[in-house]
Parts: sequence; C-alpha cells; structure tokens
Amino acid sequence: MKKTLKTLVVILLALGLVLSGCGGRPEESAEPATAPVTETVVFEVESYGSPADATRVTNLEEAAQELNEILQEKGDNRRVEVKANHVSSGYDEYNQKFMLAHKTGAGADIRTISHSDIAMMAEGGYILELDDYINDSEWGKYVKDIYPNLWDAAKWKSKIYGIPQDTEARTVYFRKDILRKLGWSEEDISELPEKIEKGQFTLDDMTSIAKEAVDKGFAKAGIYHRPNNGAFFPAMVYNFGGKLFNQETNKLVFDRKAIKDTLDYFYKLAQVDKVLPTGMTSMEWRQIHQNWVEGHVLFWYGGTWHWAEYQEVEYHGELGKLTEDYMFENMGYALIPAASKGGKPVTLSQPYVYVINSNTEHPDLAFALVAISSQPKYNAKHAVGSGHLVISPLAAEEPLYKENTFLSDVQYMLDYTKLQPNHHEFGKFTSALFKAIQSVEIGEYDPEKALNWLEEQVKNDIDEIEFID
Amino acid sequence: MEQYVQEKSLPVAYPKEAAETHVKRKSSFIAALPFIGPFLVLIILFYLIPVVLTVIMSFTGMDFTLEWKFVGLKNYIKLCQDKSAGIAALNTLKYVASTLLINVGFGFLLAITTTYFTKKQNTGLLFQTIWMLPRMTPAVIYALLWLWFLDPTEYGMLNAFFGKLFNAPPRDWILTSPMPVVIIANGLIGASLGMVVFSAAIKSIPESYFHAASVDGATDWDIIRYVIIPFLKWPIMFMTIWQTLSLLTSYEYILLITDGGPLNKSEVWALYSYHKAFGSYEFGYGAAISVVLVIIAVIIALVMLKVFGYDAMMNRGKTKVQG
Repeated sequence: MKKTLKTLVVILLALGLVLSGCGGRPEESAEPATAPVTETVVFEVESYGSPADATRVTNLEEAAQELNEILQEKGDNRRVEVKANHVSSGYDEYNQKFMLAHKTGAGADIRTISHSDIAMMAEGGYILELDDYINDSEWGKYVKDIYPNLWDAAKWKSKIYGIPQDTEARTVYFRKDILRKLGWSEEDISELPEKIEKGQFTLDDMTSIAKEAVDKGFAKAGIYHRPNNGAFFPAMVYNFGGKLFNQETNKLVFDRKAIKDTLDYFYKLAQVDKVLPTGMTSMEWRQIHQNWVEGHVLFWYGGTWHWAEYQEVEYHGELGKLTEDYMFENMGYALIPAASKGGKPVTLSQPYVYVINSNTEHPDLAFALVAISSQPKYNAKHAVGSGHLVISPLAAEEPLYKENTFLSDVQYMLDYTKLQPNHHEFGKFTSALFKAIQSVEIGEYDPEKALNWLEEQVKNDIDEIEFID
Repeated sequence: MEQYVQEKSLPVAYPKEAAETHVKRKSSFIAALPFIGPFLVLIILFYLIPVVLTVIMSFTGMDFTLEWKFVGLKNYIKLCQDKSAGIAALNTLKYVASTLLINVGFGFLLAITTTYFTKKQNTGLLFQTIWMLPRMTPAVIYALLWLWFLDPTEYGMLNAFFGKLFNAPPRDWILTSPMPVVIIANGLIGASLGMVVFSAAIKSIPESYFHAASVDGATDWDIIRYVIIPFLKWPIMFMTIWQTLSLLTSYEYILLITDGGPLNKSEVWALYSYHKAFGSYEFGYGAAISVVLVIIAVIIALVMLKVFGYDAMMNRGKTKVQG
C-alpha cells in the first residue's frame, strides 16, 4: 500500500512539473515579441556627513535623471538608477565597510570620502584613477572649471583619483552678545574678522578676551574646540609655522618646534589661563553644540558647515533650531587668528571628493554621473544647504549661492586655506598628536614631556616620517 | 610489545570487549551527530576558523591593502618592544581583576538580597528586572548615558548632583579616573548576569536546609556562610571563569566611553588590538596582539578549571560511599 502511494505521489509531482512547464509557453508566446529597449544600470552611491550633507547623494539622484535624458538623446540604450545611502556617524567604519566589501568584488560604486583618504584608497587599489576620463571623455567638460587647489587635494602621486565635491573652512566663531557685555561696540565687533585677517588680532589676544569674559562671569568657558581627533589640530600646527609633509621625499614631517608651540598653546589655554575646560576632550558633541548655541562660550573653533547645522538640528534648549537672523545677531565668524602679530591667519580645508569603485562595471557612466552632478546648479544647492563652499568659480556665481550672506562672507577664507597631506600614515600622526594635546590639556604632561611622548609614539607607529627642528 | 602497550592503554583489558566498546562508541557518536552537528559546524565556522585565520594573519604585514604579505615573526618582535603594549597588559590586569570582583561579588550580593532576604518573590523579580535594564540596553546607548552622566561641565548629572549638594566645582571624571569609570560601567552590567545565575542556584536549594538551619539557631550570616555558599560553589566557579574570559576580550564599553584614553590609561589588551587593526589598519600586528590574548585566555581557563576542581564537578553525580 505504502509503495503504491509513493509511486502515485511521484507520478503526480512529475506530471505537475511537466504541465507547469508546458503552461508557461503559450503565455510567453501570447506577449508581443519585444526586445529589451533599455539596460538599467543600478549604481549604489554612499556619502558621509551630517544630515545636512545628504545632498552629496541626493544630487547624484537628480543628476541621474539628467544623465538619462542625455543618454536617450545619444541613442545609448543604458539608463542609470541610483540607490543612495547617506551615513552620519562613524567615518572609520564607513570606510572599513567599503574596503571589506571591495575585497569581495562589491562595495558602493560611487562614494564621497575626505580627500585625506585618497592616498590610502588609491594605494590599496580601491578606487579608479580618473585622469583619462577627465581629459579625454565627453563628460570631462562638466568638471573643467573646478578650482586647481581642489584638484591638488584629489591627487595621489600626481594622478587624480577623485572629483572634488565640496570644500569648507575651519573658522573661529565668536559670540557677539558676550562681546557686547564686555563693552565692545558694534563697530569693534564687525571689524574683528578684518583685524584677524590682517594679523592685528592674534591667538594671544583671543585668549586674553576669553579670560576676561570668564573672569567677569559673562561666559562659562572662553574657548571650545572639537572633542576628538580631527583636522583642526594639524591646522594649528600650520598656524605655528609647521610643516607636515615633504613633497620631494613623499614622507610625513615631524616639525618639533611647531608641534611644541602647538602643545604650549593648548597647555596655556587649559592649565594656565583656564579658558578652555580641561575636560574638553571628554565632552560629548551635543553638549558642546548646546553650550555654544546657548551662549555659554565666547569662542568656538568650528567650521563653516556648523552654520547650516545649527539651523537644521535642535541644539538650543529653548529655541531649538536657530534662525539665521538669530545667528547673525549673536554669532560672528573669522579665520583662525595668526600665532604672532602681523602673521598670516589660517584655516584648513578638507575637501570631500567623489571616488569611483575600481570594481564598478560601468566606470564611464559612473564618471558621467559624478561629472554631471558637479555642475554649478547642483553644487550650489549642496553648498547652501550644508554650509560648505562651492568647488568652482561658476558655482560661486550661482544666484542661490551669491544670495547667501554667510557663504559669500566666508568665501575669502579659501585664500588662506591649507590642506592635510595625502599620505596613508597621516591618520596615525593626527591620532598621536591629538593624544599629546589631550595630555597637556588635562595636565598629565607638560608640553616638553608631551612632545617627547609624541615623538616616541610616532617613531614606533610610522615608517615614512622625517624629523626636523 | 607494541600490542601489549596498546591493549594496556585501553580501559578494558580484553581485546574483544575493547573492540565492542569501540563500535558502541562509534555508533553512539553517529547517533549524536544530527544533534551536535549543526553546533559543531557553527563552532568550526565562527570560532575555529577565525582563530586559525588570526594566527596566520599574525605572521603577515596585512595593512589597508588587505593583502597577505608574510613577514615572519616581525609582528611578535615589534610587540615585545612596544611600550604601549606593556601599559595595555597592566591595564588589563587591573581591569579584569577589579571588574571580576564586582561581577561575581556584587552579583552574589544582589542575588542574596533579591532572593534570600526579599521574601516576596514578585518584589525580588522587580528589582532583578531593574538590574537587568543596562544589559538590555544597546551598548552605544548605555555608553552615551555614562558620557552624559559624567559630562565634565556643570551640566553633567554627577557634577550637577555634587554641585547642588556640596557646591563642588565640576570635575572631569572620565579624564581623571578613566579606569574606575570603565570598571564600574562594566561591573554594573556584568553583575546582573551573576545575579541571575546565583538567584537560580539559591532557589534550587531545598527549603528544608534553611528550615533545619533556622531550627538549629543559625543566623542569616550563618545560613549564607554554611548553606548558601557551599551550594553555590559550581555557579561561582562558572561565573568566575566565564567572566574572566569575557572581560579579557571585552572592550566595547571602554571604546565607547574612554576610547582607551587619556594617554592609554584605560587601554586594555583587546582594545589595543582593535585600535591597531581598525584604527591604524595594521591588521597583521593587531592579529599578533589577539593571538597572545587567545593563548593567555586558554592558560587562564585551564588553571582556573584545575583550581576549582572541574573534574570533581563533572563526576559530581556519582555517589561515593565512604567507609
């Protein structure tokens, strides 16, 4: 009986399979015989930045529509579709995830990264060299206008590996309301950025005013800076006349004197004048922003992108998101003051660049998409929405950008900007530098001891570095 | 002679019976295979293979290129000369010993108070649930709560508390006492596991022991000392070994709260390996650091099993008649 049942089941299954196979054919033949007209190319694109920076990928989505129209006009049967992902926390993890995915032949086709990671990504073979596309392809015309110094930021060993996406400047923000309480006139306040630009107002002046504000009880802290490792600290080494990279030997440079001066500066801020919290490096980002927007701090070493962030994120306990009017009334911005009278102030830019995965199957289309999204209309929209600076003179002429008072005001900072070296070991250097600065701020080491500690760390961790006095 | 030695080494002296035993064992292994097979595959896939790969990787100079470039013993030589590794080793010792004390000691205390002293079962369960909350909270949220709690400004909860009560100035808790902070943060989470295990063990002690002890005039302390603790020998052993091994390899809360700082003051061995591998992209060197940790963990586990008498525990079910 069992055997009979088994045989029956097998026969029924076999019949079912045969019938289902036969059933498909008439349906297929019933449809009109149409050859596929278009091939859809799906690009995975990802970007990193604050929520306000999401235009880094949404611009690509919009550019895809424009690209598709061009492709249709050309008679190219390929169509581009964009799958976008914007990440707002964990930049290291953002890169690691891609690197691991790349080794399996996957990973996002187009990404935005900091220019300082170009060396690592290019040397590791993760991203495409783009010189040929820029110089010889039909899409190169869309990126010809980009500022030359931004192209330099996208190079590794004289070859271009990225298309600049935006840039920014590190600024010193100051609270106008606190300066007013200190007796500054509106004229004094409005002249401050110019005085800084001319080198008439130095870091020492900034510290003195911060101390006065704290001593008189107008500010709970005189100066704030970022709480973790970042590009602000190398900017200060530059400010003290330091050199970080030797172009000829392609090695990093440990400039003892400039680093010592930098350590002296932070030591004085936290331990001597006590205008910077000794626990600055253990503070939480949100608390820093809140204290700043609520007017408890006189000076804040921030960046141009924070201007947009304060209008996007609710940091203020009562006001929530700030209006630009409130910000203009109570906050000012300037270059980082020079270290000595008559010196040149500094800022540091860390341009973001679009890079193309070396595994991508349609590199020409990926480049076309990036190139189209680099047009002024897209770039200006991103810059205004995120508080970044545009990548080309044409984009700076876009009405949307020109009408933006803040961005027009800070555009001049690019004349003073410096870049971090494109070297794969630079991250180790900044990480150790940050720890040394932390050690002097908390009073664990004096600047001399911190310098020795840093030198020892750097010798242990970095292969390609030379030391100068 | 060879045959003799072979026969001697078998538990049963007769070759025929030995062969039968062998066949029985083989067939019972085959019968058990469907049950242990899936777990065996998981263990091989997620424990054994990663360990083997880590050992191989430790002999390479794998960096951000993720290429296997063999460099021999270079990473191990570098490790011997690395001062930061020495600091990390010392920190690990302090961290594991202190946190273990909280995990086991405080866990035991919680179990006693919520199971033995709290007579109402629901009340005990309520307190246990409250103590379990940190364990149920995602690590990032838990760490963020600590960062807000210990914020160095007057807005930090602890600083606000001391400020209001004693008019004390704000203190940088994390930077001035990084190790105590990570020990307490980890201890409070670890203690909840100890609490659950010990509570279950206490509940499994027959009521009659407590009644008999009370009738004999035993105080609470006597009951804890002479009834509860002897019954909890094996759970305590298990928790001590488990927590030691787990603390040796744990770093996520330290990473999130202090990131090993300031100046490597709270950098433990596992975190140092993570920093080297994922912070500096020195995967080969990071793997070498991990291999040392694996070796130390195995040694500690073996020593602890010996000290606690693991063999005796496994033979526990056999009745021994003493003359």
